[in-house]
Amino acid sequence: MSLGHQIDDEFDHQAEVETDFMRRGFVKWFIRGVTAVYGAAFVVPVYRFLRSGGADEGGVQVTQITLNDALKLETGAFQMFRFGSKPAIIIRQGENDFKAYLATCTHLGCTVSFNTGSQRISCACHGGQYDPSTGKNVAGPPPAPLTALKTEVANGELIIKV
Amino acid sequence: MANLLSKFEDRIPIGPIKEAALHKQVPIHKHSIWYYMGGISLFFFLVQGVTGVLLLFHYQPGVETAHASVLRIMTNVDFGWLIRSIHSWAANLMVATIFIHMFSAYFMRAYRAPRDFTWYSGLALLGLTLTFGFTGYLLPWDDMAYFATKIGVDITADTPIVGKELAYILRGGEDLGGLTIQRFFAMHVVILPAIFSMLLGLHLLLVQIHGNKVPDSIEERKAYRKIPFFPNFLYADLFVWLIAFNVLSILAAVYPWPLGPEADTLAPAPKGIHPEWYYMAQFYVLKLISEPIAMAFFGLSGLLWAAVPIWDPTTASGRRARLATYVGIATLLGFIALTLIAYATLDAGP
Repeated sequence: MSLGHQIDDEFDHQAEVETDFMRRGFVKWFIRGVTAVYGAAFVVPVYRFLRSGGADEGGVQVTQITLNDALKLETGAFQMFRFGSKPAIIIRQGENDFKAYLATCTHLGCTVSFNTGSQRISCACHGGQYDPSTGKNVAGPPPAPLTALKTEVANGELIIKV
Repeated sequence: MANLLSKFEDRIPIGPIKEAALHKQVPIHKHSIWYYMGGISLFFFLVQGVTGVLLLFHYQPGVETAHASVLRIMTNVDFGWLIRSIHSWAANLMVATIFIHMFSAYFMRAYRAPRDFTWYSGLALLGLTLTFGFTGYLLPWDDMAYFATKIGVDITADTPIVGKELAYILRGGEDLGGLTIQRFFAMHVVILPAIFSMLLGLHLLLVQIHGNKVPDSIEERKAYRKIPFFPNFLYADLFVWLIAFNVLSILAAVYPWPLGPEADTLAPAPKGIHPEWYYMAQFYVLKLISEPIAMAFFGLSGLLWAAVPIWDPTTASGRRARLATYVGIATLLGFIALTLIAYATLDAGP
C-alpha cells in the first residue's frame, strides 16, 4: 500500500469519526430538548392548576362600607367588623371621633383586639400593642403600625373607606 | 464526595440492592411483549397518584360542594379539565392493562408455584383497582355516579350474612348522602392507596425474587435469550411508558371526560344508563337472570379463577394444563362477548 493510500484511509476514518461525533452530539441535544419540552408540558399545567381557582379569584375589591352599627358604641368602646374579606376594628374616641384599622397584627398576622382597660389595641399571640389614636406600634414585637382606614360621619351614616 | 457517599452507604446499604439490580435478567422471546403489561399498569397507577393528589387541591367532598367543586375544576381552574380527564382515562386504561396483564400471566402459567403468591397478590391488586374505580366514580356526585353507587351498594347488601350491615356502613345510613361521599372519599384517597401500596410492594418484590416466567413451550425449546434488566430492559420499559403517556395525553385531551348533571335523589334513572366497560358483562347478566343467582355465579367463577394455582399445578401429563387453557380462552371470550352484547342491547333492553 502506497503512502498516498494510507493517508487517504486515515482521512476517511477521520471524517467518519467526525460525522459520528456530530451525530452523537445531535442525538444528545435532541433528547435533552425533547425531555425539556415534556418537563415544561408537565410543570406549567401543574403550576397553573395549583395557582388558579382560589377563593378570592374574580372577587370584588372592597374599598368602602357603611357601618351604622358602630354609631351606637359608647366612647372608649370598640367593635370588630369585616372590611371585604378582612377583619377590622373600630374604636369610638369621641362624639364623631372614630378610629378604624385593619385588625391584622403586623407581626405574624393574628387578629388584634382592643383592651378597654389599658385603652390599647393589643394582640394576644405575642403581646404586640398599638396606639388606638394612630395605629402606631408602641410595644412588643410588631414591626409596623396597623393599616388605618378612613372614617367619616355624614347624614347620620358612618362610612369607612381605604 | 466519596467520603460522603460511604457515610451514606453505612446507613442505607444500597450496594446489595444495586448488585441485585445489575444481576437481574429478563428473558427475551416472541411473547416478551406481555412482560410490559405489569409495568404499564404500574405507570398508570403512578399517574393516578400524581393526578389524584393534584385533584385533592381543588376537590371538596360534601353533598353541597362535591359536584360544584368538580364543575369548578372543569370550567374555572386552569388545566383542571385536563387533569381530571387524565385521572379518569388513566383509571380506565389501568383496569384494561391489568386485565391484559392478568390474562397474559394466566396463559403463560405464571400462576404456578413458586409464583402462586404473585398471582394471588396480583388478583388482590385487581380487586383493589376495581374498588378504587367504584369509590372514585361517586366523588363527582353526578347522576351516573349516584345510580352506579346505588346499584353497587345494593349488590353489596345482598352478600350473605354481613351484606346489610356492610351496605349500611358504606352509605353511612339507609340512603346515599353526604356521609356516603365522605366515606367513599376516605376509602379512595387514604385507605385504598395505603393497602394498595403495601400489596404492590409485595407483588413487585415477589416478581424480583422469582423473575419472569418463560412460557413452557419456549422453555422446552430453549428458544430465548436473556438481557440485563439494568439498563437494557429498563430503557425499553421507560420507552413503553413514554408511549403510554402519549396515548393517555391524547385520549384525555381529545376526549375530555364528561361530567353529568348534579345527582338528584328524586329523579328517575336516566335512559341508557350503564356502568363503565369493565362492569358491562356483569351488568348484562344482571338484566338476564335474578341477582342472587348472578352474584353466586360471579362469586364462584371468581373463586375458581383465583384458585387456578391449586387446580392446575405442574403435572407430568399436562391434561390439567390443557383444561386451564380452555378455561382461560372461554373466560376471555365469554367476557368479551358479554361486554359486546351488553353494549349492543343497551337501549333495547333484554
